Amino acid sequence: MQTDWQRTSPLGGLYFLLRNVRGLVNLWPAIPAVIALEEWRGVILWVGVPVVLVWLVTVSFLHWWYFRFQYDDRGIQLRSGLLHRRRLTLEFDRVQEINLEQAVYFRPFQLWSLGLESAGSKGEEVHIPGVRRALADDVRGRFLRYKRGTPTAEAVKTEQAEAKPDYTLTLTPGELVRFGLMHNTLIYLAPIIGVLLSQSSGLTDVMRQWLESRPWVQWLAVVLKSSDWFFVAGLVAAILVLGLAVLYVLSILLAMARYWNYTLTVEGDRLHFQAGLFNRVSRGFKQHKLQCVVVRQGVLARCLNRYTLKLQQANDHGGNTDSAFIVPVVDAPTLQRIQALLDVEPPNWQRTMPVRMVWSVALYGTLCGVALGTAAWSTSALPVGWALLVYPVFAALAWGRWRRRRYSAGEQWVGFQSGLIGYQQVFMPNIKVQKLELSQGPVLRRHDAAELKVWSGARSESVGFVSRSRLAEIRDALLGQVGRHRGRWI
Amino acid sequence: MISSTQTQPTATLWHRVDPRYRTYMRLKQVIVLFIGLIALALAYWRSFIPSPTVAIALLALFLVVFAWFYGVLAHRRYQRTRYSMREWDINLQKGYLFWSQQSMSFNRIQHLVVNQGPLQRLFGLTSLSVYSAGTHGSDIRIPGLRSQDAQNLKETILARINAEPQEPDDAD
Repeated sequence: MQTDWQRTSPLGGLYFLLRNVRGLVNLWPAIPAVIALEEWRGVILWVGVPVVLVWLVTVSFLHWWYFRFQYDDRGIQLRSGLLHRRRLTLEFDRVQEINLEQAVYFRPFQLWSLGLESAGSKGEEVHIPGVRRALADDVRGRFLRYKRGTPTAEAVKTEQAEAKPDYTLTLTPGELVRFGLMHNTLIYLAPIIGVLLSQSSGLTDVMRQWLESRPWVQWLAVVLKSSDWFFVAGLVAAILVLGLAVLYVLSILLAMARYWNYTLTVEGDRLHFQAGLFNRVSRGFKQHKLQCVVVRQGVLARCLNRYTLKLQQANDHGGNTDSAFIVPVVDAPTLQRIQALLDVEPPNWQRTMPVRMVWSVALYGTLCGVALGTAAWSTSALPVGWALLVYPVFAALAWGRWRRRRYSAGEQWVGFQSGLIGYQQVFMPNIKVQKLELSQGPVLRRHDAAELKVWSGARSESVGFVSRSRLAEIRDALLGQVGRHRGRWI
Repeated sequence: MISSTQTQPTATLWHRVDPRYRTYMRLKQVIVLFIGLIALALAYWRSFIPSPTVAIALLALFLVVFAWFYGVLAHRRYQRTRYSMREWDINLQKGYLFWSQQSMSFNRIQHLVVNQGPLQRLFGLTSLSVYSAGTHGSDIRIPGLRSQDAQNLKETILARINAEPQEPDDAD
């Protein structure tokens, strides 16, 4: 039995350093101020930055120094904190899952990070950075022995060696390229960076001077002056396409780095995946902890005929993609296979009332029409009547959204679908429902309709413009199923 | 697919909250009116309102909304605020213009909290919050209970939870 308090490897300090650097992100509102205060920039650079660096290194060292842990056959104990001292005892009984992660800076030293998830905590409750694989395996082995009640480590090893997964999915680089195309978050960063740069006249001047001194820019200026508008428009379009291409290439590279060699295995009721080119992640969970299955297909994913699957546990509120259990990209047959393994029954999709479109157009179309009409009237740029054109646009949007909006109330699962061109489907096991709310405003009352909102342990979903009696029936059936359920659910 | 045969009996005995809850809501509205009037006066004094006519129109609108809330809405909302307990679940009904019925199964309740703010204390009122393990907003808050009623309700719910058969401690 291990009883001594131990520290992690000194290299574990790197984890605390990076964590504190990430904490500096909270100071982002200061960036525009620093850019704007040009006369103070020198002081900030030569005094402020070194002070922050020294502070970061000192605090990170102290965090590592005061971080100690010990474990035995029943659980793990942790002591941490500099000013706010924390002592945590986590019994294996309360642990949901033990995850292993190898950050890029730990790889040369064969060090790993050990993460313990517990019921009721948001994300990982314990994260021990910079431990040897043998120690991590020892903790995991004790955890498994505690849960399975098997007496020896050899028995667990034999069981693990003999176990053959029911299903294995490995993503090829081609699939990761598709994922990079489907999920390009960088495209949203470009306008933000543009706005930030435009806030500093000094920085813009420096960039302009640098650009003007480049021979190819001078050549371009001469060409543009002597060219017609058609050529200029083509050139601008080409630059935009090139910029987009660069962003998509970067997105693909990020997808490769995050999900390289992605392997999903399903063994009985246990799901597990490992992935990562630089940071290796190994994550798993038991099926009875599943709170929600989310299937997404965006516009590009639709063109590529691929889907993204996210499996959510309790307290995984969907915000943190790093801690999510995700199957990044699957085709339709694979999606069906995984859904079958998870016992997700085929949905029986029902539409909502078409009158929803009328109210949507009347409300949003009128709001937008009045705003545009007022703008046209005050600037005299266009006749006010042009504002009426928003109605057909909003009607098309409302029709698209209504067509996608569906719900399914099955024997075991309740499902919600939403979207416009792409779509998202959310499936919750009936027995995992936490709370239900049936509501009705003045508009819904006119049509004897209502809205039903369903909370699971991971997220909430709602459906409106369905007859009130039908939704009350679904609600009562769900409450009855939850009330009768006696098994584990979290 | 869920059908009507699967639903549990809907015979529900609804309990009203304490009548002082209506007065409590009215007092809250008076406080809002007071703050609103100060804001309106400040806006007029700092010339954010272009003319006395607009100021009078805004004041009239404000008073009409207040009168409607004080005279009609507070009473209707009190009448609609009810709670009930069925075989497997606890329910709260509230709202007049925007009506809602919230339900939670007893075996999903994580913990209970009895709250009393200074204004509630003035009326001897308490609210009981019933929390589940769901995401944001997955709690049920029953307002306008007499302190003793809140304690009794809490004890009743705890007794119902304790009466639930224990979950089998199967291997993880």
